[in-house]
Amino acid sequence: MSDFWIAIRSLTFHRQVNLAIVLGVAAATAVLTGALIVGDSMRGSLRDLTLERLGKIDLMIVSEGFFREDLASDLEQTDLFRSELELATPVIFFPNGTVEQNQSESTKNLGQVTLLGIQSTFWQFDDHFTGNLPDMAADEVIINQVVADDLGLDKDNLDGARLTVGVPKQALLASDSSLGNKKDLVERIVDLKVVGIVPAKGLGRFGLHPTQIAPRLVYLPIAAMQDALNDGMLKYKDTRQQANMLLLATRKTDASDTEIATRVSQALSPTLGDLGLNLKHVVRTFQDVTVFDYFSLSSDRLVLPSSTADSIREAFPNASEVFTYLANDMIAVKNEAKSAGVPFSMVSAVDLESIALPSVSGKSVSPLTGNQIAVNSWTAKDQNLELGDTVRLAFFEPETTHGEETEISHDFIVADIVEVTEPTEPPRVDRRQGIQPAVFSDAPTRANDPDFTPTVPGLTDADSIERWDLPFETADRIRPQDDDYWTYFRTTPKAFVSLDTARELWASRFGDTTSFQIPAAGWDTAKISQKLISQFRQQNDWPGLQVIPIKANGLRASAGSTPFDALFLSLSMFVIAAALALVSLLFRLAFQKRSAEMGTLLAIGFRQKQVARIWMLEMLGVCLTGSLLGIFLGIGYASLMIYGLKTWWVGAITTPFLNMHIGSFTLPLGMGLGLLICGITIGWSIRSARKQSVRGLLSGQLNSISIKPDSRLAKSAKGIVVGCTVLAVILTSLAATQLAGESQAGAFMASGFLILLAALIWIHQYIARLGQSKTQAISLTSLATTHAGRNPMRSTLTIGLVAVASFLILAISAFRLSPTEQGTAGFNYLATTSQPVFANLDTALGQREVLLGTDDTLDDTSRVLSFRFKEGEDASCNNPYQSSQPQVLGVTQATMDYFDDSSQARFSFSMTSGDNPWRQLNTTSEDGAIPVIIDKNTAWYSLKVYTPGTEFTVDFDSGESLTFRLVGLLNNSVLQGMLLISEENFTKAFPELSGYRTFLMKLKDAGEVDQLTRALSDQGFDAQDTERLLSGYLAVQNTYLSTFQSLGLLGLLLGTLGLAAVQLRSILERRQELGLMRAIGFTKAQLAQMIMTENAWLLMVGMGIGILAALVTTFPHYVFGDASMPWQELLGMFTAIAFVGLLTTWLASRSIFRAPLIESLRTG
Amino acid sequence: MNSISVKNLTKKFTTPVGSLEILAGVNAEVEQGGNLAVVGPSGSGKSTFLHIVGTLDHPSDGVVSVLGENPFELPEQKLAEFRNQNIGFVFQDHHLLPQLTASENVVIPAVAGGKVNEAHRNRAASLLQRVGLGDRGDHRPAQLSGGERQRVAVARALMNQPSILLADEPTGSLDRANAESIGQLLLDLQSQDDVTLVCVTHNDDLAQRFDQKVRLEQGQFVELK
Repeated sequence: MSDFWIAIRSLTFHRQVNLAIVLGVAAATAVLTGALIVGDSMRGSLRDLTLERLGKIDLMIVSEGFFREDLASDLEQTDLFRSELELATPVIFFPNGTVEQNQSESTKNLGQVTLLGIQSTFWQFDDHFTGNLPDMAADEVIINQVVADDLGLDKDNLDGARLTVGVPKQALLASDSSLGNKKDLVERIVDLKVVGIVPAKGLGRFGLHPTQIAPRLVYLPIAAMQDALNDGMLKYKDTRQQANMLLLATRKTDASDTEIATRVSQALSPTLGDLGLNLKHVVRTFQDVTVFDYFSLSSDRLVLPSSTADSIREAFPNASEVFTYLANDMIAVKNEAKSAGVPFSMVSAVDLESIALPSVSGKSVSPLTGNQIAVNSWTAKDQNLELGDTVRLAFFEPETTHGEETEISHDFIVADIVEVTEPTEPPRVDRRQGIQPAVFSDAPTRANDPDFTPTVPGLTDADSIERWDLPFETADRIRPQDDDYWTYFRTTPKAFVSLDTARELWASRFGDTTSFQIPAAGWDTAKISQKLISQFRQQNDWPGLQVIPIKANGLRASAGSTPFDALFLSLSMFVIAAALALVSLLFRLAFQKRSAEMGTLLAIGFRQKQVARIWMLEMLGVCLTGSLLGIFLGIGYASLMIYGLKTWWVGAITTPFLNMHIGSFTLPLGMGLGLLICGITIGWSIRSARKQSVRGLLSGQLNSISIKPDSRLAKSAKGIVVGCTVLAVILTSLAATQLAGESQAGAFMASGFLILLAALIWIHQYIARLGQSKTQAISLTSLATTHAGRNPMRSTLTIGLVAVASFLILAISAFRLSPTEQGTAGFNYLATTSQPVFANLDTALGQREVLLGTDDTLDDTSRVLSFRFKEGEDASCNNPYQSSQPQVLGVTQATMDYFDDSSQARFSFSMTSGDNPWRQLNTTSEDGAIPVIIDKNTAWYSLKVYTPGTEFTVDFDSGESLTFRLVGLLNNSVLQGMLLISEENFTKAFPELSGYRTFLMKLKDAGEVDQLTRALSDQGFDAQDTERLLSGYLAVQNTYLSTFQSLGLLGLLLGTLGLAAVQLRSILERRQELGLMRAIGFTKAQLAQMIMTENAWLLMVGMGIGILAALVTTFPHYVFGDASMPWQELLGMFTAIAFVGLLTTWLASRSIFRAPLIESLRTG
Repeated sequence: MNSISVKNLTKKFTTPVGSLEILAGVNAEVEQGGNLAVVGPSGSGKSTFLHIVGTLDHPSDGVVSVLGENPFELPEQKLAEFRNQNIGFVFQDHHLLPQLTASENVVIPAVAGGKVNEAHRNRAASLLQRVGLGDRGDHRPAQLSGGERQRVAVARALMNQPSILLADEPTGSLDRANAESIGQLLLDLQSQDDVTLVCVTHNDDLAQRFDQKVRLEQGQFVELK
């Protein structure tokens, strides 16, 4: 026989009482385990979605332009592929397509459609692939279930279903550049037959960005897409046999995807063409004498991106840089009034120290500086120019805003005249072999070189100037001699300026170099390519090409933006607290029942520690059993939570994608935590019980565990109450005004609990005094309240349970949100487009341009603010994935100006200074961090950026690594999930992105929305009601609050069970007292009334304290923050709580009627 | 040598209405192997006296010597050991552990001192034999009558061969026959085992059989002839 043995015997003997504690422990463990499982399930489901949406796709190679499909087969030939990779397939990927379905009565348009030009090998990446998808002919498409649902198509009835797909055209020049096209940017592939619908799983939900929302997908044969793009008028290269994405599956070796991505990047063998570069051997000989002989290295996109230019400079230090720009007009100032200037001339900036241009004086042209210009002899003659004359060059600014070209002019002084020789036969434009050079009878000069201008399809290969494919009219300004020049000289520059001056005038975000001329001596095409490719490989930076470990990135994001286990633990906090309070109450009741047992052991010589150990051993058995049971209940609890998240609380996660996942350590961890907290609770109760005297224990007359009136704690109670209250007020004021994120939530909860603590200490002291006071007038009510004072700690615990529940329910309700005007700034629609819009929809001119009629404009009161848009992840609370590359909006100066007007409804900001916080976007900092405004919820919960001034860096897959500095936090706005930066910073950061794709609109009525939707259908215009959109965002927070409240109510249910247990125990304890009252004439109904009054008093005091704490805590949030109280709901809720509490009390008091009270007088 | 020596023992309790002096300078001496009966009205402080002598309660003032030493100078652990080895208790209510059998209840004091061995079990069986329950060792308290439970409690009190046996109203809950029997049992065991017996009782018949008899009146002992 031993302590352990006694404990085991007690455990089984007192099984009924212990079973109650087991159930309490099980409840606490179940809630803990359930919360952990919800976290596992969220992460697991996000992970599943990532794995599903990517199938076997581990890596992808993406390009800003197009590369050869053969890049895949080249890669397949490498050792790396054989050892590390399994599959490769080229894809044309456009995330911003549109779909139109023409039906007899109406047309359905869908924007934000991802178009995938695929080969049949694409489906080999799909784990769900069944092999029964039809092969697509050139005029056929497959759609996913999302598109089918949106178009109302049924997979069993696709007869006659035909679609028109809008593909963004691949233009040579960025639309924001002066020569870039702004209109007709969508190539329409018409009359495509729908031959299959793939379910929205596997590659049926393929996408680059982690999101739980299935995308709209349309699959086309890659060849059909290549042909369609090739037919486009704006094509800048032949897209046949080209792709813009390569999907790769790895062999699942020990190497991580990130490591393999680096190796793949190193193993790639792109051609210069794959990198968007053109290399041309330019050689001109005359009578066996070489006039010039070099290799011209230029970009597909006219201007070389700065980083590429830097690499070329490093690889070829001797190469000469050229920057050619189009001058709209070139006129001698002295002739300005008399004659026309030279229209549409190429002006090249070159380094005249490395390129020797012949002067008419017989020497070489000296290096030019500042405003000096060297015109060619043809121009000098045309404009009658002499050295020292002023030439005025008119040209468009290199970048446009809202598609509006701005022509400016600059005066130059003629410093020299460059000799050019007129050809005897003009160059021949051969569609197959390109442009054949001109024929000269006299020796051409170095300046007779049309390749100073890089090849621009649609421009340099045009038959005449008026056939140039440019966004502005040219015909009305062309003179006959200009056409002659084009015929004979084509793109030969008519003037030269210094590189510095050219860059000052014409450099843009797209770059400041159009070509490099590499002297041919010692080089050939292969050598130059090899050298340059080696250079890029060495730098591991392929221009425009990125190897992305997409699956690893996606899996990293599936860790989630919110730690759901912690979230649900905190949401379930009150249930846990209630379960623990119940455990404590039940243990105390058990202990009280068995106090004599403990007294006996002490009397016969057991040490207190030994007795405590026996109890602990017994309770360990209880807790082990309870926590073991709890993990099974926890699985059930988690199932309930997951069911809730898929149904009642689906607003919290937007779509019902959750499935149960249980991590390897979750169940032991849940059990361990349950065991730990219940063990601590019981251990604390046992420790408190050690203060009982042996006599008291033996007699069963236990001192109530309470603060002794003469104790130091009791004496300082008043001070503690005041201290807690003051600290709580400070904390809640800080939470409302200064703190953010988790620290704000922590301060809010801490202040609430401090208020509760203060109130509970005060009520404990009051109750203790009640128990000792002489009753002035004896009545059933006074007997009831006085009895509450006989066990102050128990009464306080009961009050505490109800108070905490009431506090949480009320306080949390205050943070329910509704859309406000400050959330929308009075704008009633937010629209996005798949393709950029260039027209300024805020002006009558722009509206007319878009609405296609001179009289078609929006109402005078209507306003449309345009934003530039960078694709990215939705970082709003609607996306549970951890966002690493959020969407970015470029805020125009016009938008900032709009918000200068304080009479307008404006967005509400937190912790942000300035009358118009949008102006903060124009501020600069020494480290060059980009000022950014973010919605508070997005900043705090998704990006974990809390206070203005904080800097953070985002690495975009497109290659940019940008550091942002938070300068403003929007309050519950419709602009959630994105970074808002100034347009100026946007265009610098993302030079390749043109136009506007997001619109904040204040429209007169829905008719104007329809008008715009029709007019911009090709661009995939999609407008959403801002109030509904904002409600959707706020629904996430509101749903979490609902979840918390639901769980709070569950906790309150446990609390009322505790209350019932206390009441029943109280009746049991007072059997003799009640028996005596019966004996002297009290009726059972009177006794029931007395019991009920006592417990109703506890319930009401508890609710009162909870409500008081909530009001004190939330008050500063009313004044400074977002709190608003749904009084009607709350009234209903508290009525329900009071009803349930009183019902429980009544049921417990009914036990009076069954108890043999008179007999208890005999049995003692 | 005196087994128990009490000089000027005072015990006060704090109540909401002020201090209440239960024992006001009690003096008593009991020789080793002697016996003492304490009688007095309810609330006179008899049990308080017994609990202080049994080290379950502390005196407010005065000197209490048990087996020649002041037990209240001992730390809690040593005090429990002292009680376990030297003092046996019999209460009005038997306070048997309902989950244990009679013999297990008897052996319980040995558990407090460490592991139970065969000798302990044999002693428990022997004690049960001595109190007339040799055949009831495997019975649980619920299966025993009130008198039998009190006999088991007496056997338990003697388990560790204490020098002092303290009985607090040992016959208070029993019928006359059982009360008679238990009282005699206690006195028999006291004489047989040379144990010092102090018994608090309302039972005058029982008290008359003790060598020393005192009445607790107004917080002090008055010797009875």
